[in-house]
Amino acid sequence: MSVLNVNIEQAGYSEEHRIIRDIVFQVRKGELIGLIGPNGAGKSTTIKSILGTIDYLEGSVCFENNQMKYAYIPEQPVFYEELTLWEHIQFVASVREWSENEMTQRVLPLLKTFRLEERVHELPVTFSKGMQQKLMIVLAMLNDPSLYIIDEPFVGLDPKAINDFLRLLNEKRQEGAAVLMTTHMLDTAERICDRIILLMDGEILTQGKIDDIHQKAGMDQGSLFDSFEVLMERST
Amino acid sequence: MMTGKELFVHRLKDQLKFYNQIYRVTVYWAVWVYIIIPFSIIGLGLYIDLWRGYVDLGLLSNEFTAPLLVLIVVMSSYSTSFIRGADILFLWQYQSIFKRLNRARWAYFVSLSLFKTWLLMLIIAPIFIQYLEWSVLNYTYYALFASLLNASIGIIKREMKVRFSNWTNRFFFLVSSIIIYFILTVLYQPVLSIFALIALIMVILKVTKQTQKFNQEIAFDLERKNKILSLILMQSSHIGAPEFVGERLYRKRENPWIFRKSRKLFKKSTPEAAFEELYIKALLRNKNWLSFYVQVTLIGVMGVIFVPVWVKLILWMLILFIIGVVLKVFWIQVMSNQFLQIVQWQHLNLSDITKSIFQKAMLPGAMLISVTLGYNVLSFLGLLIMPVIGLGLTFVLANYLSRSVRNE
Repeated sequence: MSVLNVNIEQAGYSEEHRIIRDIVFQVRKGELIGLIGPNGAGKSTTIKSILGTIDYLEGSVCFENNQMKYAYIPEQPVFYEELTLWEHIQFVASVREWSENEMTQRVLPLLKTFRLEERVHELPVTFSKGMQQKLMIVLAMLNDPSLYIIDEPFVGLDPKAINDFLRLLNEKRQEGAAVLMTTHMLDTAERICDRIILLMDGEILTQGKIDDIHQKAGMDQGSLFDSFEVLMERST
Repeated sequence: MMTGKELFVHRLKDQLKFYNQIYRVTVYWAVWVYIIIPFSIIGLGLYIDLWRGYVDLGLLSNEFTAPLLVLIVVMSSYSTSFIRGADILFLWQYQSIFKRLNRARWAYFVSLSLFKTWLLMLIIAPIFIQYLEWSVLNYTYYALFASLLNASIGIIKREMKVRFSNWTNRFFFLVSSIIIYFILTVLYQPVLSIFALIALIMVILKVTKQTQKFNQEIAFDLERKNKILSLILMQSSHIGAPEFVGERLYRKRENPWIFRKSRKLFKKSTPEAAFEELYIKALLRNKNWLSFYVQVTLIGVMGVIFVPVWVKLILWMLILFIIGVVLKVFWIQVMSNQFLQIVQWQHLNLSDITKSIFQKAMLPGAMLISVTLGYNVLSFLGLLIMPVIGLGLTFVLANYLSRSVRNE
């Protein structure tokens, strides 16, 4: 059963400034999909189209039961400079109408996992990039969505935080959540993704399981990076 | 080889060019149309009324309060050397040009200082002549004394700051403020003023015999230049420049200055309470926007005190409306933060939320101006009536502004 159905004919900043076209894919429950491609391939525009923040879109983006229950972790952490870490959590909890107890039960294990519990009353603007990224992950995990949309999740994270993050993502996937993730770290993508969508010049160059990608590239052996290079060269 | 005077003139021109560039970048034509020209017209009207003896402030002035204005001007004078880091090597090699350089900058400072003080003395002249009933001749003599005092104090302050420790400088500043205040008020006599000036000149001669520290001069000038620049740029973010332009360069604080332990403002956990809390905390902790809110409120308070009665009501309504618009612009900024994109929030009627937010946020400023207006126009009766009318007007404006906020 699919959590997300994407059928974008074309999208961009205006009708004259179209960036992506013919982007068609599905994200199914429990699946982890890697959206990969070189800079300027259209990964961010695809994500913006799914989030509904792009100005021009022809086509459709349908969520499960027409309910947009997603959590987005952007590449550049976004937060209010004036709010403390705890106040960001309180904001999410109040919007979701959670009681103080429910909020604490949900958030404390996450804060402990990412070693943020000592800094809850500090302003995230003073945190390092990695710590800010951890805050984004905590806020996303807190929401228990059916779909995680993650843009370059590993930038700035230390190895332990990457492992903890992947472990939590796996737990969520086992509970039925799906993940759509853009990344440049092809070795990690190869290890964790169920399917790969390779974008190039605003179009899908190829998509499928890792083995399918290798097969399309005509490489029985080698890494995703090698197949990626072959397919890109072939297209240009 | 460049002489001391030539070096000074060269650097002075550079400095004026720099300020001219900053002015052209930051002062938009709208500032002239909406701020400078209207306030100049109001100021001119006020000045004419001051000469005619119609302004209440004049009645508050006496022999002790009026000289305070003069004291503030005298003690705030500041001399600049305009020397740059690149000049130090040159100055070390040709120490003979020191004297000429110093004389040139003192001459420039004294002439500028005399001009500024005379301009100010002309502005506050009606307080002394009209309300304190001084003779024109006596006041002219007083103005001359004040301008010479201003020039001497400016030079001493600068030389003390460069050549002595911070504490010596602060001690001198405190003691000299007290002495000068007494000279300007109770002890004011022509003979005494001549003695005071002679004493100050002797201090200047004594201080300037100390070794000149050019690196200190450059550091102080740079510090002052940065202060002026940040003051200008802080205002520029309110007139359309990106907000980061006005941000100060020093380290951001780890904990907020208010509600340090993330205390909740509202007990209930509802989306409405969440957005209200977000807005109020963001406003209270954003230095630029909070200071803008306070500035507009204080301008309103000063305005309703000083302008003629028929303008007071118009100004009162105008300032309340401006406060509302400022709060609405800040709301748009809060809502455009990308943080709100990280999850899909449930559908909310933002018009209701903004109405409540604008009412709460407008109240402190609106009440302060209404109370001031009420007391100013109707005395104690006004304290009862105007806040109630102000409350009603605040609610009407909040309602109007919230309806114009797009419900997204």
